[in-house]
Amino acid sequence: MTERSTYLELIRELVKGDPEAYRQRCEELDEKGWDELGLVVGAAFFLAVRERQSELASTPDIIRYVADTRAEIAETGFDLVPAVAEALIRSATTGDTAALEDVDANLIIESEMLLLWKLLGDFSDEKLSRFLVEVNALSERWANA
Amino acid sequence: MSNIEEVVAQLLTVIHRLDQAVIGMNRGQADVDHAHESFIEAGRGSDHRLVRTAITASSEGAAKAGKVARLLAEASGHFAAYANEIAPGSAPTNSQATEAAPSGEQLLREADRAEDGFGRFAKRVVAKAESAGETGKKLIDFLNSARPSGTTSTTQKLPPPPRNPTAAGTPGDAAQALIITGAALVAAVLRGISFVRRRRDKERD
Repeated sequence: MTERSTYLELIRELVKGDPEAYRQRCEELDEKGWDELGLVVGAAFFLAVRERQSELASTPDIIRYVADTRAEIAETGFDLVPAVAEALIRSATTGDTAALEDVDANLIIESEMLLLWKLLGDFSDEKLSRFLVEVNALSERWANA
Repeated sequence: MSNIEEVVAQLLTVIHRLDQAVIGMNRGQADVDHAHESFIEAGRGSDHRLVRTAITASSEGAAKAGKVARLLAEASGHFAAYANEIAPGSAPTNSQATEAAPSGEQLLREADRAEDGFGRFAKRVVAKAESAGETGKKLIDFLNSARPSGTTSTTQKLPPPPRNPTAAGTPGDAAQALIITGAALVAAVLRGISFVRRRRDKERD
């Protein structure tokens, strides 16, 4: 199994809102390499959307969720592209990613990370740890598929 | 293509456009809702007439955007029903979707399909992301300025009072823009109806 703990801890620090620990984790990844960030973040995003499925059941639900997230991050200098964020959530539910194929890959990763901050924001430490174990397992399955 | 097929194709186009418009209206309603919340927050402690007007206008805007979305959804449903009347099974309807509740096995298959599809997509993202590290590091700035998730801004800043509360940029205006968009769509729908009628008249002749 590939060692992905650095990515998993990066997600934990993102969700917990710990900028200093996150910055140090970035330095660690600068040395080890960032190659699989998109895979691990993608797996976390997929599982997080599944976890929140009941809140994201319809198109209006998804639109409201994205709008709520945008309102929460409005003063950070970051933003979501609504069409991309909404398509990401829909795609994680259906597996149909046609609407995202022409979107810049870095924008996909950034959007997933901003949404993860919101999707996992109220997880307890224990629940987040269990969640990250699942993310690791799914990343491994996807990497070997 | 037969006349009926052409008519059905036109109807499906109109239905698709209406469905897209419903999504746009819902998105608009969510934006206006947030503007309304911001106005309430910004205007807390103030009883100024313009602040009250802005809060009322934004509330009305959100309600009207929601109403337009519901009406467009209804219109889409009626067109789908009509398409199914002239060519049974040609258009999907909500009732069909709810009647055909999926079995547990189907649900599992769908979940697997979603996992496989999104997994393949994640691998393509990895292959295409040339600066994943820069993207990851950008979020340091985000964390430096983000509040804990689940909280919104509580800054109580009163924006300079507009000369006219319905001037461009206010939620009242956003709602108006949405309603104008809705009107344009209704016009498109009416053109669709006229098209169908002309076709039917031709067929009768």
